[in-house]
Amino acid sequence: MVVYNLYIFNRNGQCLFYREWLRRRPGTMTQEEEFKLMNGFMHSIKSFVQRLSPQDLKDGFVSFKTNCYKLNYYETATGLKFVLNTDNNVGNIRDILHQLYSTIFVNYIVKNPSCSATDIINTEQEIFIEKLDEFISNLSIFAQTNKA
Amino acid sequence: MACCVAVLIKENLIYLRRSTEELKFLFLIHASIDILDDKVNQLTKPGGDRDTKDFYLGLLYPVEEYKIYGYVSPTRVKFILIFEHSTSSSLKDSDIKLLFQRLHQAYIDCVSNPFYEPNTQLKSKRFEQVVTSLMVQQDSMTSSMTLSTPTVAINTTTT
Amino acid sequence: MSRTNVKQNLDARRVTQELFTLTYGAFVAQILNDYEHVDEVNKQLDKIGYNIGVRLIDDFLARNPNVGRCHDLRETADVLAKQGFKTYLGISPSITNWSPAGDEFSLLLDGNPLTEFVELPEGQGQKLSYNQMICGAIRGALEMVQLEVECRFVQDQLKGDNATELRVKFLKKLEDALPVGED
Repeated sequence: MVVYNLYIFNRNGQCLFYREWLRRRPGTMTQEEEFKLMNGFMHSIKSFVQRLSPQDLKDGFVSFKTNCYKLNYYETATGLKFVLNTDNNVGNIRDILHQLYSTIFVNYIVKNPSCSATDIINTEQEIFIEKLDEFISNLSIFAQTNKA
Repeated sequence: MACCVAVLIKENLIYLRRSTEELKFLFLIHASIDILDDKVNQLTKPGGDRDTKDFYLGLLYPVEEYKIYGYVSPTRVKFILIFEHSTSSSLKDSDIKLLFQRLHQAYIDCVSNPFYEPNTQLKSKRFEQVVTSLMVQQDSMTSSMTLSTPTVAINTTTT
Repeated sequence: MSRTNVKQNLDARRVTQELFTLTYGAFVAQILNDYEHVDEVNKQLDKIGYNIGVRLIDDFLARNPNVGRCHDLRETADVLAKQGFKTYLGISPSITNWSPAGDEFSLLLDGNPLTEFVELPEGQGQKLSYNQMICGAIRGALEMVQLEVECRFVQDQLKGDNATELRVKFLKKLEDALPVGED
């Protein structure tokens, strides 16, 4: 199983953080455009999914699959959005995304007085990036990322 | 019944309460400072056999009508209690020590108030309450204490 | 597994209540020294609380993954009193005095670790809202979950009242995509 990349958006739709572990094909647009599109897309698919639903949704939109990758989505009550792209063999990783939020984001961004949970995370937040890398690379779903 | 309660830091009186507005209490307190200092020095000097946890200094000196007792905190805050001879004859050392400990605890709570500036006059209402209880309810306190002593004794023998 | 590890770590780093109480006390006393008006001090405490609240809510959600969006204010009040206050201040206030419309309620604080040794200074100091930080924190935390509330103390034991009562009033529900107002 493989982990491709991660986006974190705040409630205003700003991309706070982006990191990729494996991405062979470069994007066809600028990064800024990609963030905007991704956020808009998430916003639309969320409301679309809700409207289509035959009964009350508990978690709402969770993930979608294509023929070569799976997009996993997790949103906190505070409006933070986590988007993690993996390969198709990955099951439901809601718990993992919650863990990423509660042990990495909250501990190293929210509790860090020198940065705000609503501002873009710059590259000086080395400890956050380091812990994030450690967290992702220890996941069982990461196992084949480097071999892929 | 205690008829005078005083708290001092070095030579400064930061709290004084007396049953009557008599000047003599001030003299008595003043006179006892030296004795207090002396006792502290003697007990804390190297080779002294002072148990560092015990801040009670006992009877400082008796005068005609009064008995003066002293207690010093590890931070060298001095507490003085003055009793009338007639009422204090029944008091045991351990009772007085207990009174001092209550006073000391009240002082600690008082300096923990963020709005109290250290080394200034104590004006806390809560502290006043404790002092009032020391000055008034003392008789009932000692009687309750003597009542409780046997239970303590039983406890020690069973364990 | 890593989640329980984090929990244990947090517990091991607990500080004593006295240190916390004295820290907050020293802090309030210092701002009272620095500002001339007590009203301004209350405002600053509220602002500081707000800044704590907007961060604390994320920590709260991280610790309580089962807490989702609340359906009504009663649920919010419940979570706030039974989980929020319990986690961060170690007390569970009782919820009372619902307004007929159900948009306003009171929290009765029984025992407040912040005020253990406190006696308000005379004069101007009597107007100090010593616990105002709690109000700010509630406001900040709820704002992050799209609830705009107003929060104030209507009774305070420090001022000689019989109880410490905190009033929370629901103002409006914030829309998702709207930009957040600066503090």
